[in-house]
Amino acid sequence: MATTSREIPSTTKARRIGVLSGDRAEVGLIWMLRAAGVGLVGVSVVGSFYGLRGLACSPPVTILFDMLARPWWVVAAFVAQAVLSLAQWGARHRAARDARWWGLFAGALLISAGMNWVAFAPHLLAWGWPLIPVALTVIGGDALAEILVIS
Amino acid sequence: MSGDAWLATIWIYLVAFGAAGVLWFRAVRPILEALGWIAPYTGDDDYVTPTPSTPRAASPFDTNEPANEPPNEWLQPVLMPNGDSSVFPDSFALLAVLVEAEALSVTRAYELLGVSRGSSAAYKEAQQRLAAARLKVSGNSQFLELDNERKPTGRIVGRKKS
Repeated sequence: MATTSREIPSTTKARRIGVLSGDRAEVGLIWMLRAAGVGLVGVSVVGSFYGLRGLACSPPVTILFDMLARPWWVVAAFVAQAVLSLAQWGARHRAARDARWWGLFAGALLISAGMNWVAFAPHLLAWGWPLIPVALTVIGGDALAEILVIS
Repeated sequence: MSGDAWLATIWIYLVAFGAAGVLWFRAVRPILEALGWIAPYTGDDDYVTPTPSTPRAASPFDTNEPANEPPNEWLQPVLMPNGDSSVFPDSFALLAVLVEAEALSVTRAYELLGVSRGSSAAYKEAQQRLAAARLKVSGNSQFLELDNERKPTGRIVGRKKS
């Protein structure tokens, strides 16, 4: 069965199978970065789950059982991260017109990063990492999540 | 690395990847653009379908189409009656082919069974099924045309502009 199509205008853009242009590679990179941002948000929720209770994060299986055993703490971690992420996002946009919003952004970031610090920093410090790189990794990662997902 | 630190490890990898990506788009890329080493990011592919410089060899599947067809004609968007090709994605063209094939098979089956056209209830039923198959391509059923006066070819053609 022969199938034909109408003549295509010369200006038609078409995809070529097996050919990946630079722009398309960058689009793929952007989606991977967004996925990394979502991943950071997810890890941050787990970090908040432990950080709210003043504990360092545990091995994978332990985390699963911990979360199943304490569903309200999971809800609290979700709510905390949602509120703090929205506060960071909104404050960062409003700060473009009024610099005082940077105060709210910094406050929300520090609270969120504080919970992640409790959960993750003990492990990084135990590896012998200096304090400043640990702080940059924990606080920077918290800020990066919002930037990657939204921007 | 102990088992307790696995989530911290994931955190570090995500931060490193994300930071590298932000660095690329916010710092490195603008510098390379300013130097003229790479084109500004558009987020789209500016590739334009080329026309082959030499006609391709004749094929038994050739019809009255122009000889210089763009490559990958199966993957080209098909021109819609209103002249807009972008609203007709490749998957939709494939669906139209499948619907057409199914409709043809029904009609052809009745022909092989010796059912005469025009008056018999069986043939009318076949026509109804054909109409139903066309409706599967919702909103664009007018795009499919089956020439029942000739031997069915399975061709998909655009409706002529009135």
